Amino acid sequence: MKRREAGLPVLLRLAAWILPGDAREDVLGDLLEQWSGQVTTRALPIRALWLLRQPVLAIALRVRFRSDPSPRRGLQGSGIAGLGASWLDVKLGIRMLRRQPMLTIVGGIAIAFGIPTGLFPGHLQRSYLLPLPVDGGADIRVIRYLAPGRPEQSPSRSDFERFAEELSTFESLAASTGGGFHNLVTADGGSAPERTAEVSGAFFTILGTPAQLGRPLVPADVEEGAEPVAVLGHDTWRVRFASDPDVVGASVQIGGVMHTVVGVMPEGFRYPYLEDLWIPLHATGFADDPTGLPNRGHVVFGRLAGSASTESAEAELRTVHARMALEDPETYGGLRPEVVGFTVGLFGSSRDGFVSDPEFMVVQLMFLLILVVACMNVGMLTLARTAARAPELAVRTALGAGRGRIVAQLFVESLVLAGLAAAAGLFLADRVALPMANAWLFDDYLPSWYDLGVTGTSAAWAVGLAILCAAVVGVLPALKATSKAIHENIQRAGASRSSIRFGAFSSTLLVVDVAAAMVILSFGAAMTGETLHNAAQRGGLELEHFLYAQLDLPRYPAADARQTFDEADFRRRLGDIQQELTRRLALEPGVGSVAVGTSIVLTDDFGSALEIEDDDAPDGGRFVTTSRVRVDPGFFAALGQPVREGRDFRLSDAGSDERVAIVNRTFVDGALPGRNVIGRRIRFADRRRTNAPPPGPWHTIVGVVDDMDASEEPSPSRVAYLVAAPGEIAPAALAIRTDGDPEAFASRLRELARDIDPSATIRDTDRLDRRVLRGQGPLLAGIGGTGFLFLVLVGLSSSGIYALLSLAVTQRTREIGIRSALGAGGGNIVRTVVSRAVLQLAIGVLLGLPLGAYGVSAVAPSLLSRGVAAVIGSTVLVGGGLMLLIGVLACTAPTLRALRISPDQALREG
Amino acid sequence: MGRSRFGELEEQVVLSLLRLGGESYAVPVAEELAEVANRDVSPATVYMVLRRLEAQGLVSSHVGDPLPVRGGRPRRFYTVDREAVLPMLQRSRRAMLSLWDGLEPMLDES
Repeated sequence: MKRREAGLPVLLRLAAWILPGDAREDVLGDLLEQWSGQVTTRALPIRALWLLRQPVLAIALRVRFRSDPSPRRGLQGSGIAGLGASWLDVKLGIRMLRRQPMLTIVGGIAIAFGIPTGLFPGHLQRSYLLPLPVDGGADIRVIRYLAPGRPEQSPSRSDFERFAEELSTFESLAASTGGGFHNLVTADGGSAPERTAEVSGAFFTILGTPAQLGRPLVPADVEEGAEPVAVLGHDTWRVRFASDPDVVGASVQIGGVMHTVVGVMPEGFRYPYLEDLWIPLHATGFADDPTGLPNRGHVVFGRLAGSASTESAEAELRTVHARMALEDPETYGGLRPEVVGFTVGLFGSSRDGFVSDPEFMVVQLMFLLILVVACMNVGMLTLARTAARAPELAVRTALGAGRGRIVAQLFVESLVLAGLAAAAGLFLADRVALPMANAWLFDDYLPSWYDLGVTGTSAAWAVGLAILCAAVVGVLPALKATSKAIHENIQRAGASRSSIRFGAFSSTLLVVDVAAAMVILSFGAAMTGETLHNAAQRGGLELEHFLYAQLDLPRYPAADARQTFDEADFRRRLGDIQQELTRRLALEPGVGSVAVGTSIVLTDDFGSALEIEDDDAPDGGRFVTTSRVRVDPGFFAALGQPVREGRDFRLSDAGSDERVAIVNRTFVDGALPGRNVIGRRIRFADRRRTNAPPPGPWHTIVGVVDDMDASEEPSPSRVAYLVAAPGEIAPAALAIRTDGDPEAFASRLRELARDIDPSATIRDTDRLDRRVLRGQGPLLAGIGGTGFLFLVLVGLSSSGIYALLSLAVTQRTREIGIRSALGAGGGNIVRTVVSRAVLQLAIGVLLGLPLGAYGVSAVAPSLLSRGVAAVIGSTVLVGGGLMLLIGVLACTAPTLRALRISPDQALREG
Repeated sequence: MGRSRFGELEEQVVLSLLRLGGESYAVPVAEELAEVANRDVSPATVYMVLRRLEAQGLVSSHVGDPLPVRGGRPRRFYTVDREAVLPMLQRSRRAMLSLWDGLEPMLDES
């Protein structure tokens, strides 16, 4: 509440700021006096209206009294409006947009792309901190534990119960699992896995959304011995029950247990993540020990009580936790409880989102750099336009317009362009780019309620950036154009010459621009080369003959009365199902081999620190980041992937004390180039970090296979394949080779799995090549998007370079005339003019090349050592050559034009 | 200044200023307008009107002591130049009364 009060006078300050400079202090005083004297005693809506009215009124007053002289400061106002800028300038700006269509289109596209691009990282960060879009969503908070060197943990069952009882800063607390699947079997026998959340009694009360049909779950449903009930999500109801209005009361089988449907939630309600089916969270839904693994990914959240804030809730939570740590120091001593926003708690980032990550700042700066380059080039185009308008500006100066007035006019003209472009850019971002990013880049990752749309704050930032762009694009060229003394400008205008001289200024601009274009090209080429390289790596695998599917088993069977989770039992059950399924698949007609692994071709694993035993290394081992893929012994044979060196896994390797591993080619090339890896020992361990998990067991490398990952990482990963016994991989990714259409076999596969165990889920079925392509979708979309952006920027650079060079040469018409009159040959003159431009461009290219190479090597060091280097090199050379060619063309055309007119005319005109 | 007439709001502001003793600042003028003329005007509007009148030489201003409630900001006091203003007000009033002459019964009828 305090913060809100403090923020109010900002509107008054804004109102005063809009008024002329000499009136501001007085009016602000008057407004504050009326505000604190009378207005604050009124009702809140009246106060808000009064405040909102002031800036609007100030604008109206400013327009109404714009021609009034200030009684105290004569004609001098302050700010842009004080310089006499008016609607006329805006109209003039709109007219200039029509008169200069090329500049409007090129500049408009550049700014329309540049502003949303520059804003994107910050926008993402802000959207991360938005409240949930439910009634009172701003008061919903997550409770979690932080422990040094470990991922965030959720409170255990007993913690949850204690917090719910003792915390007065929360109205109520709820717990929910997320990300799990249960098979939903309808009365007609249809079975398919659905995203299911197991939720505690207060879940629906806290989220405050009434059911569309029937009722949501209530605390009584969660009590022990209660009849198993379920609430359907809108999509589940629509797809699985054909939107049956009488669905309430129906019996369905969820995870092998009969449940009664008690309600249907409205469309769009998919909490906590993307779930579309809710069942009661039973005692088994929690880990008993908050430090215990595996973390089920459940979330504990609540609604803050009336006057409580995040800070007061956290203070109270720490007090309760301190008592718990005294009672049980071993469990709670190393944990630090935290109260954070819902999204932060669900995604597990630091409490302020990711703004404190140094990497975020680097990304933000890189995105802003794109805007800077765009602005610089539009500025070059505007400079050329301003130079062409020299006579007009000189006449205006002669008629009494001051430098400030002219600069203001040019600023307003640029502001019209930047403003319209920013508005168009934001519109496209909101309607096209962000929905595409949401669907392509974040599919299955962002919860459905996560709103990526343009917010008021982002729009306000865009307005600020548009003003900044207009300042760069309009004011700098205007200052350059009006830098000479008045009489000199008028004199030059009389001779139809611009007052802008293209000496050191234009040379510097050119060099910087070309260098920036080279850096941009390097990055563009690196990203494209990377994709090509990755695509080439997958040759040889006939992915289109395989059906991909994921086999899993709910860790906590629905409505299971058992109090603890038995990991060994779970593994045994899953292993039995996997083995039985493989056996039955072998008997199916038209089905070939089956590969089982944590992943098939895609590597989702971001990599862990792996220690390679190496006597030559100073401390006896070296560490490389490597992805870990666990596979069954027949994995490579099933996929038709030959083992190039050493041997394949054997059945006896699984479960054997002699642990073995197979590594891929990238691992060998990157970690131990030119050395024999067979027989060398590796283990996943990180000695460099304190609080790292204990090192894993040693594995002996027995074979080397070709790269076959197509990960979303910027470069092909080093992969270590470890052999796993059935049940050790959960969920298990299956690749089933079929003779016919693999997808046609998907329903049969589900049947087979259901026959073995009704609770076993088969999901994400797809043809393997499509699965790989979809997995690469984000990468391809990202490359497509940034590639297009790079093209726009390079095209913009080219047009900027062309405009500047061609104008610079046009200004030398007089000089060319004199030289021609003195007897210099045409060819000689062209050579002289062109060689200077080529020199400037070449300096830019030579500066840009090492900068680009350094940039690429800093961001993705592995790229340059691979085939990608050739792609980068050739693209950059072609790009550099193109820039030089554009430069030559830009110089030749005006030089030839100057040579065509007679020397005496050139002298008169120049 | 060559002007012989006020705008409607200008006239009301000058009259309010006179009712306040001939010298005051924007906030009391706005309050007077609200109270007597039932006209809701922001101090910013009053201020801009007074500023215009000052530029025309009909009022003069000086900076007075700040009030604690204004956060230390000074108040600008405006003083009516009676010699310049009264003839204009008189003309205005006369014109208005002449126009109303004979029309009052119409108001009673309504």
